[in-house]
Amino acid sequence: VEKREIMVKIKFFTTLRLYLKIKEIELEVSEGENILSILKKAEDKIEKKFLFKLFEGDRIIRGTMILVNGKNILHLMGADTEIRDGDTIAVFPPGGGG
Amino acid sequence: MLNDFFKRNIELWGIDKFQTLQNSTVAICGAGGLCSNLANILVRSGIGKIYLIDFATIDPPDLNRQSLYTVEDISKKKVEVASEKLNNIFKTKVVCPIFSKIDKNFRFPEDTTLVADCLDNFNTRFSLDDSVKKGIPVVSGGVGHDYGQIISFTMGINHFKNIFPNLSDSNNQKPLPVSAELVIAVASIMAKEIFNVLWKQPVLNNKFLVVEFSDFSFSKIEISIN
Repeated sequence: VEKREIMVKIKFFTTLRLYLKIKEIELEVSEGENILSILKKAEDKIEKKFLFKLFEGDRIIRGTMILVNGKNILHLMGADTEIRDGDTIAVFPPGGGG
Repeated sequence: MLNDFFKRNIELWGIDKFQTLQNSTVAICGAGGLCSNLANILVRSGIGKIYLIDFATIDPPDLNRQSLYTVEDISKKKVEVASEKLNNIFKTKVVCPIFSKIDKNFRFPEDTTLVADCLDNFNTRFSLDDSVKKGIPVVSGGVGHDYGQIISFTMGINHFKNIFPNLSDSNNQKPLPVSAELVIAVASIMAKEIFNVLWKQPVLNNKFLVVEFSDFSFSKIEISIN
């Protein structure tokens, strides 16, 4: 069965927003595609590498929060988390200081 | 006399909401930059009682943003200096210092109605998951570089390890760069959310407000509860 194309939104926050100079992008991807593959596509579209700031291989770097509709992907399937039509991915490292 | 000080607040909120604040006890964890500014607002807004909990003394790099402290205070205990200055605002004794480390065995005073997280590290935040009683509302703030975030939640329904599952402090972590303008802004938003929570009208319940000072954008990210 051929997978249908879906739309996802990726929002960048804080240091990543400054680095990429972009707030959010929308991408057309295949239904059920995992988050790592989608973020790679985002890299291609933006034409600037940023995955090295978030992942070491398929392991999420400490201090990074990647949320799918508000759920941290560590509470889902990590880098293998599958994305559905209309999902919003938010990427940001929270500030810990006071 | 005391109500004269709060006349403008009462005009804004009404007497019932003001009295809710007067009947509330807020425990502030950490007596650094967020706390200095937050506690100032809470005292001037008529919060009935405030506990300041910290184990630190004042260092020179604190003075760029920790607005309660001056050069004469260097090396003194933060909670004691802060309490004295805050109690001097109205010549009252609403602020009580607790010179203590916060770990999982720390017990908050029984009359605590809300816990404000003004801490500067994640490990101590995680210990609040054990030390704050279930059902107590928490308003948390954090800053670093040119951004910060604020969230409120009820302990037991949500908790810090769920909100920040991938975070810990490394042993040789350098202090984060932080500046006065951001810290004061985040502390002000924390104060407003504390009032909202005490009035049972939280705006940021299980929701991050991410404050970006680089482009003045404010974004809300809803956090799912596991």
